[in-house]
Amino acid sequence: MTGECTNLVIVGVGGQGIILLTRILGETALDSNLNVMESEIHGMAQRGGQVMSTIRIGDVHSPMIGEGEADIILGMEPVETYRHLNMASKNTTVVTSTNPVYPFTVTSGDEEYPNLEDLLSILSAYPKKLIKLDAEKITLDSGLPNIVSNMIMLGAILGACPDFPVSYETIKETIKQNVPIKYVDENIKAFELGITEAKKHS
Amino acid sequence: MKGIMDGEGKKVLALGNEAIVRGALEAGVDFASTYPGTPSSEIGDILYQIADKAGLYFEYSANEKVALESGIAASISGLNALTFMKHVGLNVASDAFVSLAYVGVRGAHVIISADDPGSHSSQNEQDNRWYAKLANIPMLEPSSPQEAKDMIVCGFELSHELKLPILLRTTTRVAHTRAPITLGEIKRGKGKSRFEKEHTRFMLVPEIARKNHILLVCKMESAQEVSESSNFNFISNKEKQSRLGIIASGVSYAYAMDVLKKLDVQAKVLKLGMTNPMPKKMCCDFLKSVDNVIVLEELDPYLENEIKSIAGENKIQVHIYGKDSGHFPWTNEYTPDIVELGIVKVIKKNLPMMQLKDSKVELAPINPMQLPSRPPVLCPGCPHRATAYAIKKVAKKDTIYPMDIGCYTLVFEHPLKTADIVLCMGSSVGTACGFSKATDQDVIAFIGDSTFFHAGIPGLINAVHQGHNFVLTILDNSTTAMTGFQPHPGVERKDNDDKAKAVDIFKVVKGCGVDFVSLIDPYDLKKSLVIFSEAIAYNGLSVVVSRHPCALVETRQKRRRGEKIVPYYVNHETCIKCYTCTSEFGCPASWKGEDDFPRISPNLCVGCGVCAEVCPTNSIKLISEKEEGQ
Repeated sequence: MTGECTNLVIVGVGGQGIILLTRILGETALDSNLNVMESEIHGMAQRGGQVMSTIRIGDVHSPMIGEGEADIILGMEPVETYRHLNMASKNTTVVTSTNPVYPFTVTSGDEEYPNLEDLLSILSAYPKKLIKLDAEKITLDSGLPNIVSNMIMLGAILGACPDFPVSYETIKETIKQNVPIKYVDENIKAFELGITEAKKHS
Repeated sequence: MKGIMDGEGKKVLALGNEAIVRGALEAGVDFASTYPGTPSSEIGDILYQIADKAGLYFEYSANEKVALESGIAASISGLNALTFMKHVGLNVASDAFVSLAYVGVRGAHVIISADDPGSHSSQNEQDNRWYAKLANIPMLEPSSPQEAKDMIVCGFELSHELKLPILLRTTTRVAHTRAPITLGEIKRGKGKSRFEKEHTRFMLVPEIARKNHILLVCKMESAQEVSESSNFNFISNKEKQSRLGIIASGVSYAYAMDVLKKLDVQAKVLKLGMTNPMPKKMCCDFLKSVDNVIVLEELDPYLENEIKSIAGENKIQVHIYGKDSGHFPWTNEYTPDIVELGIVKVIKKNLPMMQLKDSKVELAPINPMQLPSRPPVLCPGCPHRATAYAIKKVAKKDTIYPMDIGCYTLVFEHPLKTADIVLCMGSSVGTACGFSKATDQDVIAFIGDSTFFHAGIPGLINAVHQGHNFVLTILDNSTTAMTGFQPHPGVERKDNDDKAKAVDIFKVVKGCGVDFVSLIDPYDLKKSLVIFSEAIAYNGLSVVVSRHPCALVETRQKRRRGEKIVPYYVNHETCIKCYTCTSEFGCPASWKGEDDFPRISPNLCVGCGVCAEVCPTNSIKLISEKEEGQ
């Protein structure tokens, strides 16, 4: 949030609802009369591959974010958060899920998944602010389906960054427009829980 | 696609490909055709849904050549035609494409080549701007979704005006960028037209071809004038007094603008949107106004060569920096970092007086940690895995596996590794023909259903006629899965007025004259093993059609019907920890647990049951059996 634009990176794996979050943030920015550019790479996502999207809100020409220039990194999976730390600087806020999604290379025994505690402790040495959320536990404790974890993470951005350029109310409105009516309540509830949880950890 | 059908004047967030659809609707498109391919697929996905409502004809053609030829027929009949494909698709369509400008258009024809710098989902990163030169077809290169939409609308007008087709060249970073676009008015197309015969124009026999070539050169001279005054060629930061210039096209322009701002560098930017023919006079004037110029474009030095030739022709003293000078790479897509690095290098070395804002951010110190890779894999329950497993079980060790383009290409990964060469659509069959003559090794080729219809059949006919000896495995999952589940000629459809009849692959193969043809369901491992053993032993060409619906589609349909998906589990009482299921078969729903026993995720397992067949101790059972036993 360098004043003129906000650079946000969302990383994770296929099926975590990253494209939906990207769209929601983009539409919210547009509804708030802000310029926005977004980029998605999702060619192989359905087959367990990585997904990464970038969102730039403000006076920009391209959707791409340079090294060290992310204001916020939202990681939906801890290893993927770590993998994209080259996008972070000392001024970056990192919000990460602590729930691993093991790649096939790990489940087949060919490669190892790093020790989660080590990984998270290294992570915390980097950015301005690090919020770690056990989204799976949060959904379980609050009786929400695991599928709304992405909304918890979306809420966490707002909870972690008080100067985020779009308001809580406008995001809520966009969520309502982007999820099927019967799932609106649980998505909104998850979004609000994310805000509260992130504030708790801030 | 939300919002892109909204009314005029509204601003909506759209993917580049969605903006293209909207642009086509605003231009009054009548006829659209494609063969799916990333990064162009979303254009077809949307048109397939809205065609009837929007009053236009849309088809998923058997391949890009057929798609283009259909579009040509529509446009010379007076309609507005849109044909789109990924970059390598234009290779397939190139035979028609290169002769197309000789006959020109009557209505209008816009052809989209969606290039993929960085090979995000392609076998190469070829630069299709050369095709515009090769075929004498005017070209537009958008740098954002809004520009993509504007260029489609203008492209149709220009095509009609010049009587030439227009090539619109997008790249992944334009096609898959989401940004605000302002909607214009949707124009309803004509629907149908009437073809007026004109032999002296459309019959490209040598005499007419020679005459048409002369006319084409004249048409391109008119196009040159259009390019000089096109709104898509303009100068940004014109007011800057700088003697540094930048010439850019496509998404490189967007990077340049962001980087110049970040570094607070004063430079004029010539943005080229119409890049064939080049606006030579405009470029010439621009070059005269600067002492140093940086050319920014992804992949080949297409603009760079043109700019150098313009500078040379006009004897302009200007330093040109780009790929040849070593400041920018020839390969991979550009990023803001690459553009910044190149610009900084040029300025520091050659323009030491120029101020550069210190843009360095303090990067987070990278503490190296070994991270596991996350390659894409075949889904749980994927029938392709079962087919490849059966083949591997019975094939000799030095068998050659010619592979083709589709999800099944992924069997090249551990543990199956039944893939040795993949080049392009249909190449499995052609290379199998060659291997069977050039070597004495067994040859087992793989091709998907959609790919078979696209480019596999001529190779098969060749194999029959020449008497080649190999096994062709046709993986029939009843969809074009890799690009997002588009239909193909083997799938019956009833979703629009024109009912689409299914073409039976088995009958096609028989009809081509293949004597050994077998049909298997790869979920029936026992039978698959028998059939593949016979096919391999058979002296001559044998074809095995391995038919089972894509697991993603099948599971989705089951859920929609309310059918319960019953997963499997590993009975640890009888399991001998041989890991055939996890290490040899390698379904991502199973893994070796902390207690060293294999486990199956009930959330990921789709209940295909092939791992149960693979298990030598019969230890993999349906969860429902476990519950019954308790």
